[in-house]
Amino acid sequence: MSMLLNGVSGLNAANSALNVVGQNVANAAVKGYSRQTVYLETAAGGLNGVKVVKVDRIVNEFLNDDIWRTGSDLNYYQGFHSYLGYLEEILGTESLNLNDAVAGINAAFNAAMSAPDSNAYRQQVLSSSQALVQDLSQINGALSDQQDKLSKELSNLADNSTALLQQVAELNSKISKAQALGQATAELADAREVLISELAGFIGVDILDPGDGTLTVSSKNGAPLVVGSKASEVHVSGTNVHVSFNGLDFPLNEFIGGRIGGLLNVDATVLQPARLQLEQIVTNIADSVNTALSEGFDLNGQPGEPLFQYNPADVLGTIRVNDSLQPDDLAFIGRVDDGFGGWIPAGGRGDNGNIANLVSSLQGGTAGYDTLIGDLAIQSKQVQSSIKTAQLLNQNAVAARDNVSGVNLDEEAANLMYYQQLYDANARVISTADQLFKTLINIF
Amino acid sequence: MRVSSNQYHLNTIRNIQQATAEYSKLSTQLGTNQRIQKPSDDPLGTVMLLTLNSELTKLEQFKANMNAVHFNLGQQETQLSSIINTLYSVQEIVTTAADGSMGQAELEAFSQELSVLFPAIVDLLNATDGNGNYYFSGSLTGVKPFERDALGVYQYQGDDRVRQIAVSDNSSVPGNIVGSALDPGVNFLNQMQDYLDLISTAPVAGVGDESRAMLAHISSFLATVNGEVTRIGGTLASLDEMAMGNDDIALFTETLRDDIKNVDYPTAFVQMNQAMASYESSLKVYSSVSRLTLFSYV
Repeated sequence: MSMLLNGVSGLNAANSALNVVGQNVANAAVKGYSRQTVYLETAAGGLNGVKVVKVDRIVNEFLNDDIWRTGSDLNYYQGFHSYLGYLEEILGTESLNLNDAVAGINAAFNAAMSAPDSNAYRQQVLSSSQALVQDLSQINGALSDQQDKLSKELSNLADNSTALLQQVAELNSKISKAQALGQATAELADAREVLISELAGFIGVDILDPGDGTLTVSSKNGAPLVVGSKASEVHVSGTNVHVSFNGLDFPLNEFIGGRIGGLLNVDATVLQPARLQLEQIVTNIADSVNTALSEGFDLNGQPGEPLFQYNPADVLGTIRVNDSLQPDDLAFIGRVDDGFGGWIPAGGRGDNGNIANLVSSLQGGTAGYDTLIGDLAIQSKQVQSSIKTAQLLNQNAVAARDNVSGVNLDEEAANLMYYQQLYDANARVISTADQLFKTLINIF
Repeated sequence: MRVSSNQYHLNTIRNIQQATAEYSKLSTQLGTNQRIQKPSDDPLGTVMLLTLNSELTKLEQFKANMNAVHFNLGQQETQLSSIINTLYSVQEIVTTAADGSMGQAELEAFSQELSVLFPAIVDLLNATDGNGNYYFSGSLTGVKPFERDALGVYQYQGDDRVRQIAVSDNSSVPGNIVGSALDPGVNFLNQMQDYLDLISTAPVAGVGDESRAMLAHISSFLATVNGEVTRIGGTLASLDEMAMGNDDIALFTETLRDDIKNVDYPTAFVQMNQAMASYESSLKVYSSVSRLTLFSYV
């Protein structure tokens, strides 16, 4: 009888193996699917056939760690560059080139040198100053839009992270239960790894395996994200991100990695400093032109009024050309000491003594702008090459995992043939046992 | 090494995407003739471009300034040349009048002629540009420079402020001639007026001595005006020379800028062909390898 039973156990084993092949082939293109294999064992006792121990996935946990770490880096740099690249392109746009706008004002001053009393030339100074202010307000708009977009994206990422953490916690509890009951966990574990990969793209994670089937997830700066079946929530206010776990708050700073870390860092090290630098440049230009104007006299014999007005609290947002300034009020006339410690106009309407002063007040005003663009360009180039490196490392990590856990269709085809043969062979054992039995029966 | 089938597909797709990206970047470069599409393509080049562009803008501005000076001084030179031509006619008449044998009738005729010529000179000295601004009144461009006061004496009402116009980083040229330089102390106009007053009375004794004195005044005024015309000529000549120098620098700067900014066509074209070739081979390899599978033989 044992020959028949052995044959049946072999048929069962071949069946299971063929099922697993079917499962593997069906899931070959599923992202994060780990190929499964059937574990066979000789059944206990004398000549008791074969036993299917378990069907489980083939994984190497360390390879997953690599994917999460490199994925987190890649997303960090991509997040960083999505804002840096935009800023670099905006400020590098030829039509928004501050140098050109300032050169326009400079040209208007220069043109007025030969006919300082001409209304047309004076008007040209006002219009070209208006053009500079318009450029600045466009740059300001683009910068503010970017910062708004960044804080919106942050809160989006926080919501997504919270949802992911919740799902990881649920899977944790399902897997630990299934494991306790001896049920299959392969699909659940695959799903959890995909979720953690996604999460690592948002926040850099450290994973600990306490051995009960759950995974403990914490952020790079040590904030608990998932412990057992409990998940924390990620909150954002402006560019301030923190997680709350069991009523306790943990801040997430720009060192946490992932896209959130990239966004926090690009805001702190690029967007805000760039705005400050631009404000510095603009303040310098406005102040030195205004000072130069105050050192001359206008066509009405009055000391020069300022050309630019701004609120120091928000220079880019508020800078404008003095509305009350008429062409005649531009102080092109030079000044001389009146002998009593005061100043009087050096000449009449046609005097251009102060224009040279105005022209030199613009000199070097945009030097900081060249530096700013250069810095942004170099930074962007570095980040782009970091993205390439991170991409390669991530690809390698994914390839390393897939080399172990991915499905190879040729291998499955070979398995298919092999287990089919195994099935045939066992069926032959059964039919042989049957024949032997019949031979025996037919004797009587 | 195991290679999962899915990974092979993904790798191939990535290769194709990379080749397409490279191809598209190069074709944009070739299409726009802009080597630098965004600052990070060449940070150093971008900053150099900004500097070179500022340099070019400045040179253009100086050129525009030179043109303005050229135009303005040219206009003033025309006025002064007309004054000189008119003065020659005056000189001729006064020379004739210096002949003591001239009778009263002749003197009256001279007086008539001079009373047309002299105001013409005064008008030229009080000439205005298209905007009604006086050429020769210094910075007081709204004030008529030469006018007679209540006592009938010519006075200079302008000032001696000369507009300096920048034509390079460190140099500037005068953009106007002031009346006080043309007729210092307004001596000539008043001497001429006195002479005119005298000759209009047609004195019987003739105007021989006065005419000879007047001739001396005329030639000294002529010398002054000629001097100013020569100065204008000198300024214009030096401007021409500077303009040529500026043009040379501008040309050099433009060449430098274009070297940085523009695409090197042969290189870019070869690179694009390479990108295309690698793109094409990715496609070929994929289409032939993906046909191979053990499942075909099951």
